[in-house]
Amino acid sequence: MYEERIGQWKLELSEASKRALLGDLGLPGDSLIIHDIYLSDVALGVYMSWNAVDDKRNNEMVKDSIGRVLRLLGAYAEKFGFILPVIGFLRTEVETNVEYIQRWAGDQDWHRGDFSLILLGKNEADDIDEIHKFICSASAIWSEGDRLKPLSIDDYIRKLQEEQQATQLSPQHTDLLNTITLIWKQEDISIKETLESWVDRQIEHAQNLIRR
Amino acid sequence: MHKINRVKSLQIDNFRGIKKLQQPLNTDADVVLITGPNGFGKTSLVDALNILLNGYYYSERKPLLCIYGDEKDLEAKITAKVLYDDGNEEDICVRVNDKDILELTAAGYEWSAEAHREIVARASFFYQDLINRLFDEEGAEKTLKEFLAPSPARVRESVKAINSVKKYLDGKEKGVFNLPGVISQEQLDRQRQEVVRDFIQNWNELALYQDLPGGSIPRLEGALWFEDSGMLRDNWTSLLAELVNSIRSLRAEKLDEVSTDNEAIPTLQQLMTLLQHLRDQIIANNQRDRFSAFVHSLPDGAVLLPQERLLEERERLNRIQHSITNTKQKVEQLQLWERHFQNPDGPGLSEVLLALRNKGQEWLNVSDYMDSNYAPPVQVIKWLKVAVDSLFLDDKGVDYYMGSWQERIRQERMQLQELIRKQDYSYREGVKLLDLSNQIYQMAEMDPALRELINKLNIRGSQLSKENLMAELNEVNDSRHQPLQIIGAIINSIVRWIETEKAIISREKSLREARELEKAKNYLDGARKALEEESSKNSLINTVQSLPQRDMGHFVGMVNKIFSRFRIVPGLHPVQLRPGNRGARSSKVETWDIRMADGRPLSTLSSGQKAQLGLSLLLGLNVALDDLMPHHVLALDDTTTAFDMAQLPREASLLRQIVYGADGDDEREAAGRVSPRRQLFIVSHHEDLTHRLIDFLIPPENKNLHILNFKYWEQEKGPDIEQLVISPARSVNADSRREFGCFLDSILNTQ
Repeated sequence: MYEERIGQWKLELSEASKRALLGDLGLPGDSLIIHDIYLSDVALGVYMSWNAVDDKRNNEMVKDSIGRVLRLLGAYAEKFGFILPVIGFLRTEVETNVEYIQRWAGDQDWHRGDFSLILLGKNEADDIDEIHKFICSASAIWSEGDRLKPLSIDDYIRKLQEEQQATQLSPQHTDLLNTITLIWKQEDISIKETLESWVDRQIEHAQNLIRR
Repeated sequence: MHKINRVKSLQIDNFRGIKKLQQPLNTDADVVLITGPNGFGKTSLVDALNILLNGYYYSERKPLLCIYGDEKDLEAKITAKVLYDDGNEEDICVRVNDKDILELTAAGYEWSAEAHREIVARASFFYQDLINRLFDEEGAEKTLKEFLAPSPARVRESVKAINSVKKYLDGKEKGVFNLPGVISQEQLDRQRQEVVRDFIQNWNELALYQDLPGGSIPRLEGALWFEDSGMLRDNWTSLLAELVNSIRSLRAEKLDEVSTDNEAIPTLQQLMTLLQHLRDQIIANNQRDRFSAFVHSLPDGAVLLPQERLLEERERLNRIQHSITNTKQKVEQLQLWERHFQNPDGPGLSEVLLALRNKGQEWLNVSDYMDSNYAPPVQVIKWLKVAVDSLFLDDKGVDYYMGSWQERIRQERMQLQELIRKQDYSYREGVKLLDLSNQIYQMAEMDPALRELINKLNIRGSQLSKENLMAELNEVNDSRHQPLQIIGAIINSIVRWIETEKAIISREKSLREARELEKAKNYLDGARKALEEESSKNSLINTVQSLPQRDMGHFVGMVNKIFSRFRIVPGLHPVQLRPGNRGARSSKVETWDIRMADGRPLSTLSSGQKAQLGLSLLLGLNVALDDLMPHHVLALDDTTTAFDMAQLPREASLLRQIVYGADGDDEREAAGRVSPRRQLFIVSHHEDLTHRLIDFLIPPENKNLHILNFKYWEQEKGPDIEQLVISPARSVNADSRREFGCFLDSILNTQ
């Protein structure tokens, strides 16, 4: 599933290279990790996670490091011959980091339009979907089943009949809706006269009940 | 007809800010980036494309022709070489005359139907200065609601007609419950109105007298009792009770207070008692008036019996009473038979027989496709066969004989009930007359003058009628006795009123007793309920006109997917569409309004947010309405101006997806698994952003980006356009990706 959705755009890169990209941050252990890098004709995406707890000084270092990684990758890509928008995808399990990431994503002095930073959602299983949305072709956003077409009177008739079948109705109500359907189908009959005829039929039926 | 996949070249003459292009523009590229300062004709070029591809222009763009001074007989001309989705190419041309009428010349291309053109333009051309045109609740000429889910005139009119037909049913229903032998409700209502009018008129005449014993009585206001239409008001029983209570306390009568919830008859009887007391008080003041009062109180036209006939009359009345008792017993017998074959828990014998005749054979004819394993027990089928076979005696069914018998019993019962009613009336009238006759002879025994008066009439052979007695008393015009006459008239009105009320009660009783009537009433109640439900907000007709949730859900989901590509503040995403409307009452237009996740309307968004949402809506519509779209070309005029820097890489990756796709897409597109990619015309006014955008949109190998740089503009010539072709970057594929990985590994691991 993973391979099918996004694997084909994954860049094969050694773990040592990923660590080298981050450089020596002087941060504890796995505070900031590069999981994967994805590359297509659409964009260059860097999938990272940051799980260090809130610390103002360390946070600034993380921000600098993310900026450096994304700019560096963009520059290396350009040097190699690829010219692509660069997008960083950042996951965090630490609730207090969320606001930082949102602030950084809007900090124009920091990214200067060189890259975009995207905060991934709470559910890790959705990360691939989110990255897929930015890296692959338009089919990620445009699906073939989403076509709309203007409703015609025939569509209204069909919908009314479907609603009729799905709803428990009295015989009189069913008969009334059948009359309405007939009115909608036949442009040339008078609406008022047809409905009054329906009333006349109801009256006649009631009279038959009395006479019986 | 085929769709245009690409505009390969473009020539424009005499159109808006473009007098004539020096040479045709080479637009044979996936992306055509149009750049240059304001006023150099970039938007005119996009407008020309809009007209060429969609046959549409916004009214704000008028005049369409490029006319200076006194130039006449000019026309604008937009010509293009286009590539169709079947691989063929054609030169097509649109002419625009001085009345802004468009004429397309093309063998293989047609615009959408005229009614669809604005929507098609809305789904493919973005103008920052006309962004309100993208939204239903703002400037869209034809709203999405009206386009996708219009309320056809036939549907709207049928909803209105259902409302009016409810009154038609009410009017018709009155006629259904008029049984033979039972006075109609309408007739009784009229009778009641007349008697109340008489009562009020007589009462107010009496109210003119100030010297009544115990003081005058209050005047009654007709407007309180009757509506303007002449109908008696619903609260008349309360008014009557209030009147009785006020008279009771005014005259210090020792009578119980009447409740305003009381039935009319006891209240009327109490009023009559009060009036009789008043009359007695007037009479008590004048012994001679007793007889006169008695005569006045006689019903109009009453003729008293001669004394020698009193005994005979008593015997006749006894015979009538006896006959009524006998007839009532017969009626009871007939009613016992009528009820005997009914069934309070369901259909009676008659209905069972009728059902057997109508459906029995059908029930026996079991279709081949009905699984016999589930058939009812064989005993039941055997019984049903016997029942159906024995249902017909000759050419008529048993139910016919049963029905005929029931009808005969019913007719007989109704005739006897009518007879009882007549005999009862005759008996009561007879008893009344006998009592009055006895009273006058008793009075005559005590008053010699009165005896002489009666003798005088007997000798003359005149009847003892009210009129003869009054004439003899020579008092008819004696004003001294006017109040007594009026009280007599009021009492007469009250008597008639009580009789009317009794007739109404008797009618309701008859209706209640008729079980069939109840069934008919229930049936018509069902019909009325159906009409009421279909004219309510929750009607099925309204349901089918409401937002098509499933289809629109997909569409809104797609718009949200695109919208989420931008960096947006919390509370905006996901947006929803809600039914709304726009405009004054007479020209109200139904809309699908946008609501942010936190409930805010569109008007609260900043211009940047609105541009992001507008672009998302446009791209969503572009694919959702693909069946209607005659081309696969997008034009975005100045989207970047409203965006901050953070949006650029995001917008760029979105546009790259649409125009270039990812590696492997060519094969998927050929297999029909993804939407065809679009050709993109994008306009940028801002130099810095333009350069950024060019960087981000540099195409991979085999794709192309052209730049139309509007360098200068002269009134006589129009724009001076520099045409540039951007060299592509390296394409990303499995090989180049692997090489790049090695390249990075080598650089990073040697540092």
